[in-house]
Amino acid sequence: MNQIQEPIQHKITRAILITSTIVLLLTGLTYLVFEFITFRESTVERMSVLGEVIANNSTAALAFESPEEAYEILSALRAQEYIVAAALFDEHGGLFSKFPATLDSTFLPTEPNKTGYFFRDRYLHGYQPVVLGEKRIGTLYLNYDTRILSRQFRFFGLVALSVFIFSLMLAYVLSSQLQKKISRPIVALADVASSISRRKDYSVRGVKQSEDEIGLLTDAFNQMLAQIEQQNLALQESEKRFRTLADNIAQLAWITDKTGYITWFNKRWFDYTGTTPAAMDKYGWRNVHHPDHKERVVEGYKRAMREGYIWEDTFPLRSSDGNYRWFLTRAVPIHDEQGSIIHWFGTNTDITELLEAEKRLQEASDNLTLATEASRLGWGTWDFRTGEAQWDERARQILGLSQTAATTSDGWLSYVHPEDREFIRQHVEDCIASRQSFDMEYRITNEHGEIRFIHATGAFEVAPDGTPIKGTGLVRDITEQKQAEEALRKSEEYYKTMTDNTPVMTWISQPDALCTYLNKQWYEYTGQTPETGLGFGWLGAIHPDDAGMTEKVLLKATDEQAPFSLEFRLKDREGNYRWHIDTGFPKFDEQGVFEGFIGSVIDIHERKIAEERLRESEEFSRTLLESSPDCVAALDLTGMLLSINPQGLIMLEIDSFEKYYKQSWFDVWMDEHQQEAYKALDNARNGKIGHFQGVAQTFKGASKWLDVLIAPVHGAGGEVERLVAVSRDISKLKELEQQKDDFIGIASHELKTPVTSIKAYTQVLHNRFEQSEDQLSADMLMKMDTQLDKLTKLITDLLDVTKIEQGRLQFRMEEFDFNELINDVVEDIQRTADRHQVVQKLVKNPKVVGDRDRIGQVITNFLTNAIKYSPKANKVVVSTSINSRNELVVSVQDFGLGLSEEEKVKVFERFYRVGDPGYETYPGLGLGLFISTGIVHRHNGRIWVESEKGVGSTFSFSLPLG
Amino acid sequence: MLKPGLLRSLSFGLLLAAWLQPLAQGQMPEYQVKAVFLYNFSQFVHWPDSAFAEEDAPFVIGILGRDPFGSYLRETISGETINNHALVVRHFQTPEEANASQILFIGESDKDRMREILGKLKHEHVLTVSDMEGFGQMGGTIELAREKNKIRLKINQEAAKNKQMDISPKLLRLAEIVSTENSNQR
Repeated sequence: MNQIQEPIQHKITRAILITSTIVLLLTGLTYLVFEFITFRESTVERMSVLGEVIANNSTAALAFESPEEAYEILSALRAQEYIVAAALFDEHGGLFSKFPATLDSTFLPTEPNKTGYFFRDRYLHGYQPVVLGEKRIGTLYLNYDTRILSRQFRFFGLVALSVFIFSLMLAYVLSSQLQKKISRPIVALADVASSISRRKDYSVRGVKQSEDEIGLLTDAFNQMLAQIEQQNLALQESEKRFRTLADNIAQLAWITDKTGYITWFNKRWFDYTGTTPAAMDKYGWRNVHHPDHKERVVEGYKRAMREGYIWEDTFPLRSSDGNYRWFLTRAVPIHDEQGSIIHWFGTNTDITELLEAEKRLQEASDNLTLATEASRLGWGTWDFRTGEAQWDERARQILGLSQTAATTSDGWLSYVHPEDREFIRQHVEDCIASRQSFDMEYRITNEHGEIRFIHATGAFEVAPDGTPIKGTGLVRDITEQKQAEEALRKSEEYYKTMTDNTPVMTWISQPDALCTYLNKQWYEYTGQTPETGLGFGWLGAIHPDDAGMTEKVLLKATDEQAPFSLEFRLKDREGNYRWHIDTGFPKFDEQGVFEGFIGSVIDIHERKIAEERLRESEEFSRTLLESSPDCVAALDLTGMLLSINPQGLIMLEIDSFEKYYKQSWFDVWMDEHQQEAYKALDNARNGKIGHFQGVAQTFKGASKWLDVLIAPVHGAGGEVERLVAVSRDISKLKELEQQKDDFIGIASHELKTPVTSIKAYTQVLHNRFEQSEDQLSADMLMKMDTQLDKLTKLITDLLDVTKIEQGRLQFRMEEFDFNELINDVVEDIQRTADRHQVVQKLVKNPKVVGDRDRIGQVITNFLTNAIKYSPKANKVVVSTSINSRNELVVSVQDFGLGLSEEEKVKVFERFYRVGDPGYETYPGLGLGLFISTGIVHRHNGRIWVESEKGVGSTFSFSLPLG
Repeated sequence: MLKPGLLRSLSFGLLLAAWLQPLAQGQMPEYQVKAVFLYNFSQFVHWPDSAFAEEDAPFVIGILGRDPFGSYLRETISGETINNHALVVRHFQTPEEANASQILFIGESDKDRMREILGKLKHEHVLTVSDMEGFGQMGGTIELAREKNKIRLKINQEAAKNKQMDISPKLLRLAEIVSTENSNQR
């Protein structure tokens, strides 16, 4: 037990003293600190009050310049020992008076005109203004020596110290007396406790001295002592009981201390080993171990002691008679409440007999184990009379039997799936009754909750009276096999569900073509039933016109074992027929033996109808094409012939089209028309309609005038896919035209000679009448001459036209001055035009190569037109210019009727005359501009008109220069 | 760093300058000092309210007869006020006129008719001041007497009482108190 280092009395006294000291110190310190902090403030306050009073009293002295009076006033400060200097300054800062009078002036401020109180070094300097009315008439200066303060503090410190010491002494005296009341009972209790612990005598009791907490403590202590006393007795009793028990158990037993040193052996140990406690001391127990095992045992024992786990071992121990017997040994550590080991308790159990029995058993079962191991079969036998069962290891594994369940004949039944139990019971009964061997499959639930399938076979031994004696059986796990079967079944079911729910009708036939299966859709669509549909009944739902063909196709396909596909009309339950396509595929088993067909029937009615319509439409088109009088040829985009209608074949004199397939269409045309054919084809390729007329050479060498229209054929995407050329034979028309032209040519030529003669005679006649002064006749002949001129002009025009048409217009090319030509023409025109003035706007000196007369003809035509069609105007303008293409442009502008857009194009055509109101009064054949156009074109020039209705027209042509 | 000798002569110069300044002021012209005194009297004397005709009436420092102050008095009081009364200087020729002032300086020029003047103003609220010798004994309120090189105040407290004016004890302490002597002396 610990020695008391410091009695409780001292502790209490010290606690009180420390408390008092701290309180006193804190109080003193707080006051000191407070005083120190407030000292400056209070000093300033005191001094400012004093300063104000003196300053106030000094006003008159300062105002009336009385230093004597001022000194008198300052002298009042004599009583204030801490004021070491005082002085009055006038308003300019001049020293007025000071105190004490002997005060050295260096002690005073040089600039006193301040206000306020300032600490510097250990002095407080005060500047108090002296105010008269509202005016500062001077300053009072005070100097306070703060050293006086430290004197005050020193005194305060002394007082505080003496109070402090006195208080502590008082506290000590009081506390040492007062603490006794608390400490005495505790000390008494401690004495009792220490005596108990010394003498281990729990019968001693503490004496209660007061009714406070310490009294309660004493009571509790006494109560505790009573309990300990009781427990001590119980423990001794229990230990005695344990020893009696331990001495008399069958096992050898022993107890170690925490280090593994055995402190106690039971009586059985000594009886068995024949040793004494003295011999067992100091690890003497090693001597009873078999030499072969001793080393291992000691090693294991030490390791267990060191590492603190349960030690188990089997080893032989020598008995008193010198023989060794085998013991199963087990040592268990015993822990205290903190978990550290305080003892080991060990037992040695004699297992010699057990080991021998086990050995025999092992030898017997080894053979069977070997046999069943190889076959993956479990083996079991059960006795109906004793209710005992025996299962080998594999059977237990297969069935998942626990140790206990394996020993009774009904044990395994609790593992069997509840749904299968009744069936097993029934089967077993049947087998016993019929004395037959059993063979069954059932499910069991193993320890993991997993369902396994078991196949069990075996036989029963049955007494002659029919009671079963013994059963022997083999079990096999067939779960995997079962699962595979289940998967297969499910997949078949799935397939069936799937086909029954597809909109497609399906069927299956046998190798003899008999239908064995029709799906739900078939029955729903046709309204048939399996009775009416299977076999060949399904043919009844097919249109009578198609049924024969269908049967034939199916039989043929069956015969050939080849896939087939056919279309037929199928009657729905309302009696309407719709087109369907039936497709069948032959089915073969794994050996390649034909098993029949599997087929599907799909509605294709809409498609079929669409096809039918298309076919009809195509037929119509074909008929149309074939009956057309025109040549209709299909061309690809490069102009290769794809097809020609019969009329076309005739027209082009083609016997067999095959020869000409993919031949170039351009080869048909004569050289001079090929260019136009290309152009027309180009138009069509770009989605427009191409048109031209040309001479084609038939394939037999004949020439034909054809009028051709080429049109694009658009594909589904809108792009031009191919072209159609429709050619009409216009040879007849062309021939007639030619004849007409020839006729006009010949007629006008034939007319020209007589008219010229008539003109000549007219002039001769005119001269003669003038000479005979028959003026009337002369005038008449003059009119006749004019009409003859017109006739001549007409004939010339017609001849020109004919020549242009036939390309026979002759030109005499020469270089000439263009302005001179214009002057000649204008002079000529001006002679007959009395109303219009021809205005010329010409470029200088243009030299042109061309036929001077023919070009003059063009200008004359332009000018006569301009005058003729602007009856109300008084001028026309002829102008020339040279454009950017180095062409001479000749324009004639009038201010007349003007032309519409439509007329602007047509005005250059042969025999065209403007038919608008206002134009009808002007005679003419409408050949002038046509001839002009011919002339200009032959000079490689261009001709055009700009015009506005009611404003006037400008006709222009251009001629290339140089 | 300065040499010690130089430092000493520098501090001596400063001290000399500080000592000369008040000396120069001490030689202020006599009437400049007296002008300041006249003004200062207003701070130490309490006039009854009836001394002013109106609340905002000016505080008049009057000069009877010849003005010995020149511009000093005007400079002294320029811009000053006493209890919200603006300070003004006025010149008077007769005691009747001078009745309107609060402080009245009577110059030596009126020496002969001093008694008559004082008699007329005996009960008026006019603080009479003069540097004429014997003014106090004659019944004047404050006499600015010359004593060596200084001005000494002589106050006739009795005269002040007659005018219902209180003179501050601070001022009285500085002054020599005199009383009216028999007027029949002359």
